[in-house]
Amino acid sequence: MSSIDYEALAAEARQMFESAADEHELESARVAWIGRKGRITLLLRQIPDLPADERPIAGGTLNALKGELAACLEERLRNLSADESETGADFDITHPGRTPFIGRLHPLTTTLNEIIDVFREMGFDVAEGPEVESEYYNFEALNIPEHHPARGMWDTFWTESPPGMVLRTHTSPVQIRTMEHQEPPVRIIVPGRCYRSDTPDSTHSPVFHQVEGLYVDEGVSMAMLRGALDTFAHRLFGEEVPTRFRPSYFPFTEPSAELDIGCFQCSGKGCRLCKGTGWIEILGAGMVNPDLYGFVGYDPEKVTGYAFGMGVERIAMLRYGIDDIRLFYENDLRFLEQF
Amino acid sequence: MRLPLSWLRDFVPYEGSAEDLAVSLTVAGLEVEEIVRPGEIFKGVTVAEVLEAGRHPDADRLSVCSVTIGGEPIPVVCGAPNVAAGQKVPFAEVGTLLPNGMRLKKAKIRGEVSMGMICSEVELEIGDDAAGIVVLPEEAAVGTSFAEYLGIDDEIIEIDVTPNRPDALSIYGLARETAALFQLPLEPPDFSVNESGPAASETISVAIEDFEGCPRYSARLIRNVRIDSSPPWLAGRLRAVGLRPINLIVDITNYTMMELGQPQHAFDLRQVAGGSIIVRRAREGEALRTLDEKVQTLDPELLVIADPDRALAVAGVMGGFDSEISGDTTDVLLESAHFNPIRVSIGGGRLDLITESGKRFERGTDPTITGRAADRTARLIADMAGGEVAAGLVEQVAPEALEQRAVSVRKTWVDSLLGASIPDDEATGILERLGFEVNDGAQAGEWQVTIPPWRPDADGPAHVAEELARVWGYDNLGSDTRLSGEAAAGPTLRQKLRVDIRNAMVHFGFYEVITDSLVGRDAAHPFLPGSEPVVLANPRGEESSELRRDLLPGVLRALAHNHRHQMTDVRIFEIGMVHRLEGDKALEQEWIVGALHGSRLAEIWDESSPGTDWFDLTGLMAAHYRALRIDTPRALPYNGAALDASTGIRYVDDDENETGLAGRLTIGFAEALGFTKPVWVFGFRLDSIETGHRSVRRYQGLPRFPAAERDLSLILPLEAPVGTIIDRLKTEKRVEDVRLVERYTGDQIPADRKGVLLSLRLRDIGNTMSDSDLEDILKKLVKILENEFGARLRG
Ligand SMILES: [Zn+2]
Repeated sequence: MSSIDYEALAAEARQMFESAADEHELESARVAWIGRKGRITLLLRQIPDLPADERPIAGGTLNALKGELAACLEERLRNLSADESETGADFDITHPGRTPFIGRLHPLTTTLNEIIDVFREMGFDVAEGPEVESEYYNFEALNIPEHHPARGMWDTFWTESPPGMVLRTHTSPVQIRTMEHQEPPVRIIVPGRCYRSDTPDSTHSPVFHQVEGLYVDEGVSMAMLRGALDTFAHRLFGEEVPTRFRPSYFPFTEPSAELDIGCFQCSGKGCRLCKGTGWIEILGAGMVNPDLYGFVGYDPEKVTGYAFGMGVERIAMLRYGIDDIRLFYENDLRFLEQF
Repeated sequence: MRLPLSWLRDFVPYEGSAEDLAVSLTVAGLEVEEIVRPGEIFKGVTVAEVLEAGRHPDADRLSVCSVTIGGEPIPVVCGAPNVAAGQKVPFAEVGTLLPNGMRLKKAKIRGEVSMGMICSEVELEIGDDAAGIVVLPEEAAVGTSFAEYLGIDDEIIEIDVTPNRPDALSIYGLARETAALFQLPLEPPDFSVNESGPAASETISVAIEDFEGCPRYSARLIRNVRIDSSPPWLAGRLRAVGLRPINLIVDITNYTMMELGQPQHAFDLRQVAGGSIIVRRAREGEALRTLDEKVQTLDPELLVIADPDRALAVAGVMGGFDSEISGDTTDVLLESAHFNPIRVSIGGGRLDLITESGKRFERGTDPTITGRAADRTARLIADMAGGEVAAGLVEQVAPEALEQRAVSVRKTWVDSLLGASIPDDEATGILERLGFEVNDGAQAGEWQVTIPPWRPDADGPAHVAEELARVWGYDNLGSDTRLSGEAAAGPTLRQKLRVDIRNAMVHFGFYEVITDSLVGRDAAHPFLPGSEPVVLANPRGEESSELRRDLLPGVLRALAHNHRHQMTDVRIFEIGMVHRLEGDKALEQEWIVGALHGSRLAEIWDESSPGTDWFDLTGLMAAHYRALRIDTPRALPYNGAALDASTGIRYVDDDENETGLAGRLTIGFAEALGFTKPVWVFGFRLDSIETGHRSVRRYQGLPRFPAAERDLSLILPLEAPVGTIIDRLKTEKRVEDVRLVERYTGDQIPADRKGVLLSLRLRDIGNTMSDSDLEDILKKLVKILENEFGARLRG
């Protein structure tokens, strides 16, 4: 017994399993080696006859070999049955499969989702409001009375039926609606469709989407506004992008600001995209004008707040390098599939 | 607002570059749009003198000339008939790119060397005369650049002034800002005036009837003026700020308006009856022919300047045609008034006019400057138009209009609002340079800040904070990125539902589209027939005059667009709001609508009919509802106009309210959009599936006893409802699941019958069922099918 060459035995067995061309030959190999009267089975049965010190080695080696052959058998069997339909002359590994359709979200949705994600992580909830809005919420309660020169900042669609309503020019009305029924702290972002009677061109669309933000609480500061907007800009346009905070004017914020990011096309040297300034405006913001608190019954001595607003189309155009806003509403699949 | 730096330097010694000033103004809140250098187009063009001009030896119509621009004579061949020695001319050197696009090269014209060009109006694009060269006046200085000669050798900063900054709509106001930002001295304009002759009040008078509309009206009388055109420097400055020169008197009033921000108006005294100015509301139906020669019908909402007989001007907006300065005007009544912004805004709106004057009054002018502005204008008229300024300002004023405004500001409040601490002395320095006065307030730590009269927008501590912050620099306030406050409440049910629907649709291979929600009157609304739309009062056009009542037309337009561009295997959907009128309210509803066209799979090559069909649509709907974990709603036949009658489905809720639709677009409708193959569409209201969606599910123990699979091969009447049969079987005890495996018609069965093969999974939760149990169940099920659906077991 001790004269058995285990390695030669294993090589011989493996060779027979591996060279089996079909199921029939595999079955013969099984019977010959690991069947009830197979060679390995018989050798295992003879182990008790071996000297005590050889038994463990012989048992271990033979059992391992038996396991290996069984696994080999199983794998060969699987392969043989899988190959069955593909074997033969027309087996073509390059043949196209039956491909299901692949869907994608609209780039404005993807962009909006990213914007929402950033602010959700900062503790903002998403609030919504109607597209057909009253003059009160769209203008008056935002500190834009009739004949105010700032009304000219928005070319407004008015409705005939129902009479005297507006298609909201921004989602800011939801700020008022929310503060009316919620005590501070209030921390919301408001995405939604807005309307302005702009002449359509590559950067203007009468229908567009906006995201507004509002955070009112005790001790909310302009530095916190800057911090939130910096975080946003870095998440959407890259950690390295420089930002610039610049005074501006909105009737519902005081102080008012706009946030610029460094032009990524020219790295600040000045190009057509940034009109030679090296900076690209991405959003408007500011500290909530204390006059607004009068409309919703907050105490301006106690609370302060910040607000911001941005165009989703603009953010998407900048992120993806899209040069015409009308592409978003044309829905050409060759456009949509790129995002 | 256009700011020429040469004009700015009248008041502030700014010597830096236009670019640096542009950045400083921008980061202080006066956003610079552009820096314009109007002289740049004449680069290379110089005032030259023609030294000699002689006939070309080989060409009758050419002259061989020599010109000088101060140095050596330059030979040049000229084709103009009017060239002559001694003329001052615009001369373009070799290398110049002319405004008309011509690049000059050294040339030999019929053997004569030409080193440049003497230019015509057309080549310089300053006029239409192409026949001859431009001949400049004798006094034009040889060697000066043509741009300098024209007075346009300047840098102009164009600023997008926000509505809160009327003070920035003047050169002097911008000089004040520049002085504050660069800490430079500010030199005010010369307001002194020499008066002569009888007092103005002997000839003119002012009576304000509406002090609310006009708190202050100042007038001056200038006698014996000469009506001329403006000198080049004045015309040049007006052009530089975007105004067209008209005549000397009008130009001077415009000049001081641009300089000081105070609009003024000059009346021909002959046309002001009795020299009496009355400021009042217009009378109902009163007519006025304005400067643009339109006859306006006025009403009492409008404020007018009148004499005892008639209205002369719409206050602050536009003067009347009859009282304007004309060629034979001799005596001028000069108006310098302060009007209520709202009144001027109403006037501008009614006349549909945006004038430079109206723009300033609407935003609010400085009530304290009217007198001084009149003085300065009168002085310039006297200087340039030779008039005599009559003694005295004639005016009426509501004293409260001149009262100083002040606000109390706690510096600690400002610091906490800004989240930064600006040192007190820096802060007071900034405010004082901007014209605010800072005094100690009533309480410790409180400032009493006096607002300058040219800042009508500033009315509270937040404004003071803004002034401080913008000059201090917003970028110096810091950026606090620490998280603060309470945790968010999280998404609403609807927001989660939208995410789930979008995900499901994308998984089913659909592209999301977003379509225009403004549609035309004629837009079809097949899913919501009979509804009334929300209609715009001021649409941009017929094609966008209503809010959509239905997403389907937009989705189909998107599908058709792709179809036209050879993308025919398309699945798209949109989620969005639709609006319709409900009583006197706009009702808003959120829908999802989708469309399928073309192949069943993106790539398919082994089926005889790979096109999407009805079963793909209904299967998709079922899968979609299953993905959202809600029961497929009850389906009823659809009988509207949009969907083909043989395929249309209405989904309804328990109260039979329509919640969704699915089916094939009618052939006519599809063909109108350019489709030849079937277009499958579906849609449903989001609120119909909101309830119950994503409620927390309780875990159900996995079954401990095995199920048995049994097939039922049935022969059914053709019209028997297979879905209903499956649902019916599922209501029976121990029937866990029923699936349709095969459906067939044909030779082996009667023509009015169909065969279906159903696969049943049967399970008892408490037992392993024996063969005889299974037999009993199947017998019972077959009985039900026989009785209720006319089924029989096959062979
Ligand atoms: Zn750039």
